[in-house]
Amino acid sequence: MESYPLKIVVIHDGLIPKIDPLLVELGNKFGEESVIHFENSNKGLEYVLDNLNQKMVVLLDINFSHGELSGIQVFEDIKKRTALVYVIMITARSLNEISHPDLITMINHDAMAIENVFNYPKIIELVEKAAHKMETRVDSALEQWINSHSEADRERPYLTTRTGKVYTLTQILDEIRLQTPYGQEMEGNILMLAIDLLARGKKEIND
Amino acid sequence: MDFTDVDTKWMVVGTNSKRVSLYSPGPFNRRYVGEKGIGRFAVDKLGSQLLIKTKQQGADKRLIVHIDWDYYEQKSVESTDRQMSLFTEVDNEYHYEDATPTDHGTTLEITNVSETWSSHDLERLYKELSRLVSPFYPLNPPFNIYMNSNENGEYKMRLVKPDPVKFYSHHAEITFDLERQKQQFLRYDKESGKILTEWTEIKSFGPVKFKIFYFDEGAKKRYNTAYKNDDTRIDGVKIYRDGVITTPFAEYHSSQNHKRDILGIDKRRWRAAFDKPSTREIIGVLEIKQELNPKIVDATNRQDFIDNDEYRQLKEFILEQIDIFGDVKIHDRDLNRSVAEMELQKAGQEVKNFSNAIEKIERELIQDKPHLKEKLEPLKAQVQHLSSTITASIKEQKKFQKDVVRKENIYLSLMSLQDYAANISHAIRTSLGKIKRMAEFFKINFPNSKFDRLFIDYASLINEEMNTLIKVTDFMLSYASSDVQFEDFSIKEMLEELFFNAYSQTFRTENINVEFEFKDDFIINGNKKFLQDIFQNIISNSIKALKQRSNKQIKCSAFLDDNSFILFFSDNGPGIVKGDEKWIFGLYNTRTAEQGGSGIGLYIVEKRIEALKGTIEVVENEFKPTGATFKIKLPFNKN
Repeated sequence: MESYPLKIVVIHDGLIPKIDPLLVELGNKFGEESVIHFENSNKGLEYVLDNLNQKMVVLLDINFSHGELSGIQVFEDIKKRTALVYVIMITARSLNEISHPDLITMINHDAMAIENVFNYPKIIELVEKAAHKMETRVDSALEQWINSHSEADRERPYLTTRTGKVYTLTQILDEIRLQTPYGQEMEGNILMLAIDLLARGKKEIND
Repeated sequence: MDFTDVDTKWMVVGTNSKRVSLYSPGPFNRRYVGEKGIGRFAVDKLGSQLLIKTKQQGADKRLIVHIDWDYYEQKSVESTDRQMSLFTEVDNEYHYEDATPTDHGTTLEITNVSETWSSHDLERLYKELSRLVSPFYPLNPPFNIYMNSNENGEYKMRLVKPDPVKFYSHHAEITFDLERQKQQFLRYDKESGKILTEWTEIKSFGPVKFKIFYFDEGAKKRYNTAYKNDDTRIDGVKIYRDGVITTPFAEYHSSQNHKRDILGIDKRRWRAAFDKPSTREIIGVLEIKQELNPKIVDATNRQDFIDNDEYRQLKEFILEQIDIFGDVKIHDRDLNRSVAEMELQKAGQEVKNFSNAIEKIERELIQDKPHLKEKLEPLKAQVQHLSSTITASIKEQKKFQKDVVRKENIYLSLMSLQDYAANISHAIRTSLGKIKRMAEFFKINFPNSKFDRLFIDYASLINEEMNTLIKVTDFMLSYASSDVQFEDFSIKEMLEELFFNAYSQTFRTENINVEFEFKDDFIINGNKKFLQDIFQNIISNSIKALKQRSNKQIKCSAFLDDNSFILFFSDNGPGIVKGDEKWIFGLYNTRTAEQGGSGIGLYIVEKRIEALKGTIEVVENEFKPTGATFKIKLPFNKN
């Protein structure tokens, strides 16, 4: 299995389609096929929700046309489903034009950053930071480890829960990415186990 | 209460869930309130010592329980795991006192109060408590509250009474009829200027009773004199459930500006509707019942109700009922105005009659009596002076009225100009954003042969964006330039000018057949250029759309309905793609980018119409099989 490539989903209606400097530079840094641009917020949200099993950074505008979801609605809908997608709000507005309730929503639901769309080098920096964070997360570490196994191993039953449900490695990864209750529990257990192993000196870092 | 009540209910959290009955035993039959069963513990916020004195009817002794909240506090600090001990783990002191058998009831005596209670605080408490029980549908047996203070002499077992509603100028109430399943509602009768009641089906939120008291200027003056300018008493609509106030409304704020307006009564006024009554002009009492209105549920934080369709409809219903008084307000104002005008005219007529009478006397009676004639002269001059003064006054009065209307119009336009400016600056910023990103890309990457193609594209795109910016600023200038003023103008004439002068040449060369159908005209006070731009935009869109057609048609029709002026604008071009009807009004949204469309025109059209409080929408096309029809609705100004 190929490792899921990082997807950068840009949902913004004020960019020049295909050749906006922001899109070009993102393509340069992360590979053109990794950058997906939606001008329509409804379609963008649909894509994100359909691909939650991927590693994703979302760049999201706040204003959209009539009949489309607002950026805040899209943001809330994503965060309702998962905490593992990093969302960076990019807007042409200045901060004091954004309503207080909207700002509160963004902070409370962990928007990674709010940045002005004027400043594309800064946006690229933020995406790099998000990508780095993502690589060091449990699900990414697990993915790397899973990838070191043969395809047959990955699809073989690996874990049986107390209730008798059987999971393959690939399924465990999906559960974590989709932040299901089982996925969340599993994520916690893996971290605890890692710390436990380190503490007992059974494993050393860089081992 | 008896000992078991105190022991197993009062001191235990969440006892409400254990209830089997919804109502307390007779004769009270009161609905139990409080879903979580923790409210009683709030008394510890008031003071650290609590004495519960309670006695059931017929019992021969009164139970006294002493609760020392400090002790609980101490216990929780002492306990190693920092976990608060269960209330039941603490033994509270109690004893019995002798009492008369007929006595009954419960007293909570709070001492060691944690804050200073000034007379102002006590007054505030009194005021809040007085609103706890509905003033119009009192509980039976009564729910009496007595306030007792050992320090303030004004509160010695003082009975808390609801404020009588006095001095109002208008009043109306509605009820319901469960048997016929009907709800009453208010209707304003234009002819008589009176408020009538009518019946309709019971609404989704269930049947309600509603009393509204409206205070006009005069009434407010009387009220303020009587209550020494304490107008916190006139404070909008309160909702009572089964005779007891619902929590969100009980909150006190000494400053009017910080008051909660959860029904959204005042919010509307700032949006435009200055003639809508505000919370400071209305006392309203709305009665609901747990059984009849089960969908109106308090939100857990007690700051509002749970937002559902039923609550939204209830809010709407309340606003509709209150708005009736707005119509009365307008009616009364017009009436006053016409009374003043009529009086002036009558005075003018009387002076004229008087002057005629003097002339008659002069002619018939004192023609040859010069000494009398001399005496009459100053009188004649006086009458003439009076007559011209009155004529001038009438003129002045009319001018003043016109001025008021004009000022109100300007005010409305200025308010919406703010929104308009915000929208336009967003358009400008989006363009600037594109330009800046492209310029920055040059700065970082130039020269680099890998990007040569992009550099060329960017150069021409920057040029295009600059053109867009020029267009947008032109639009703004057309509104801001100093030679453009507010004026009265006829929309019909303005459009005739456009159709038969400005565009006639284009229509001829493009071979476009124009139909112009105006049933009514509409006079607008505003910026003519501002409105002209709207139609120029739509017309030029149509001309572009008709480019490839052979039988070209444009039609513009207009008429008045009850509340607005309605314009239809149609062409028989290829029409608007289904699903795009709203999208086309968005900034930079265009399907004609190849023909130089920038997606700004309709955006500005919509924003301008919104600024006039109107609407524009794409409706079903008039011309078949293809075409586009826009419907523009401009509401009447309130006068």
